[in-house]
Amino acid sequence: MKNFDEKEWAKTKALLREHLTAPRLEHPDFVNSRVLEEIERQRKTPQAALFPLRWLAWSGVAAILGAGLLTIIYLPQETGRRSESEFISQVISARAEIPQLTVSEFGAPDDRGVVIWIEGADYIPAESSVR
Amino acid sequence: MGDDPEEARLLVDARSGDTLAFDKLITLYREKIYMHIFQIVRNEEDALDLTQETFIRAWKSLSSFDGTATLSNWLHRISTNAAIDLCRRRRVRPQAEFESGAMKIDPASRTTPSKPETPGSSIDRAEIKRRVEEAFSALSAEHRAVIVLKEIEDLSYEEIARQLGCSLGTVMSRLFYARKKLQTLLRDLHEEL
Repeated sequence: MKNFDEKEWAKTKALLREHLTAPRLEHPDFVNSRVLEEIERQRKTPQAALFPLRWLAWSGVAAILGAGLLTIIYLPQETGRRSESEFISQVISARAEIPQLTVSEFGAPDDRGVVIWIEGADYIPAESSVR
Repeated sequence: MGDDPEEARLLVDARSGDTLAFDKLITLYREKIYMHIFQIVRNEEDALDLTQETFIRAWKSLSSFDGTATLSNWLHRISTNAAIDLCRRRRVRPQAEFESGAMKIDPASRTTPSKPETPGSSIDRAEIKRRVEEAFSALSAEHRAVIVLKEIEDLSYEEIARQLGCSLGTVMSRLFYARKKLQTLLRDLHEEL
């Protein structure tokens, strides 16, 4: 079957080879001149493209400087000493019955939360209480 | 790189930006590249445009040409891809009749009749050429490329795979279906010859 197919294909192949011919290039030097012209044109193009790029870079720098200036002018400046309540948290008290423990207690302003920080123990013994 | 030392020297010079050297390389290959492209696109104007495009693409990519292939193979690869791209963009070939049935062809079918019904009947040579070209133009760009590379330019499967940037299996599959389609399309012609 394979041989048969190859025989059949040989006829078609012969037709292709006989009739699918390509003409010769009529004006071969035209190809050279067009290609070199295009290369030359592209060589010049990148330099022209760099010009707006430089402008873009300077515009970017100017925009950043302008934004910085406006921030300084218009953002409200904090004056004077901060009151205690402005801090995020403050130490309220610290006391431990066991000497090797360090206990710190932090409270957020307006009694919104309390954090108890215990150091020096892997766990809190069941009989102990936190006060 | 090729074995020709003159070509190698021109290539080195062209890579360093010497357009005169590149001009000489164009002269060496323009005819071959043009004819190769024409075989796929079957149009002189398109073939001329694509020949120029091939050399422009080659100039831009000279730095990436590592010399593992010959310059000729490399240029052929660029031109084949350019030709396939153009055919895909255009899609001017008549598709309706054959495209949908491409995968339905029975691989075991006899596509060429054994003997003409009327021995001695002959048709005009120009008519044969027209019908062969018509059948060939009905193939997809990929199928045309693989037929040109294998059946007209006698490249090996491996070389075709490299040129088309696909696997050996894909090349064989494309070739199989392209041959079957052509045989089906040229069945009437075989009958008349």
